[in-house]
Amino acid sequence: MTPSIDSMTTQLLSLALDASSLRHQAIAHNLANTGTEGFHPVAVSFEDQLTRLKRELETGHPVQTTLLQGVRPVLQQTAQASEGVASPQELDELTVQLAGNTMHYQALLKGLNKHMSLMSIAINEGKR
Amino acid sequence: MDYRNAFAISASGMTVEKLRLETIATNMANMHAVAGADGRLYRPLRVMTTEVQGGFHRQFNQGLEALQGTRAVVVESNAKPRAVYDPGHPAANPEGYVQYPGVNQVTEMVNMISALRAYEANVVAMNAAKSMAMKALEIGGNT
Repeated sequence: MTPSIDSMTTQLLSLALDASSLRHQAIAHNLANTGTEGFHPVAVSFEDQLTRLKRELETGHPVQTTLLQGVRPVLQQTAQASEGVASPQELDELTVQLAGNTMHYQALLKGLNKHMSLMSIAINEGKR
Repeated sequence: MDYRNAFAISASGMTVEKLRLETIATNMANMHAVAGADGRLYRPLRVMTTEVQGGFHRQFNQGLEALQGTRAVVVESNAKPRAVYDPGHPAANPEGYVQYPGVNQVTEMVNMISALRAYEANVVAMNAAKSMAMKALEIGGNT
């Protein structure tokens, strides 16, 4: 895709959408295993990969898409799991995470929608 | 304060109410347990909840992101054991009384109902927060 209007936004939004749907799978996996002995919950690492991007934004300069290179949502064991502590999560804690993630996904979709509608206004030369 | 914080607070409330229900169930299960071989009688458990870092109002005013809801700890209560006169019981003391845990069944039932209602109230609060966030997404109409 050719560098279109503000491709940084579309790229970041679609990465965040990928992260959100992967997070849904992780939560569903944890939900399915609430009764399993010695189960290690999984989580998704994505936001912590964006620290370089955040620092660059704070300087006030427009950011380049090269900063997104190598940033990918990835499944990993939670911190407790790496210490060897097995703790399947509670049902209500997982339901709350699910609700929060769904909200986040819808907000991201809305953002992407509005961003694309800007492009369609440009294409239609301001006519609706 | 974003919606995820509101969810986390309700979640901590729900966890505490579930803990309360577990202690009530334990008390009811051990209502008629006499002292074991070590002579220790079962003492009824209670859940004590305390604020985290005293002063919720201070945290709200600071707009602190990490509001942590409540912190709960399970303690043994000092309820007096019930003494029942039953000389033929194997565990009766020399005067003929058997010691049972001081679990008041009526109190436990009432606590159970209030824990259930508090749990429902937390769920309602969470649903309200979710509705607010959904409504916020409708700003600007459908384009």
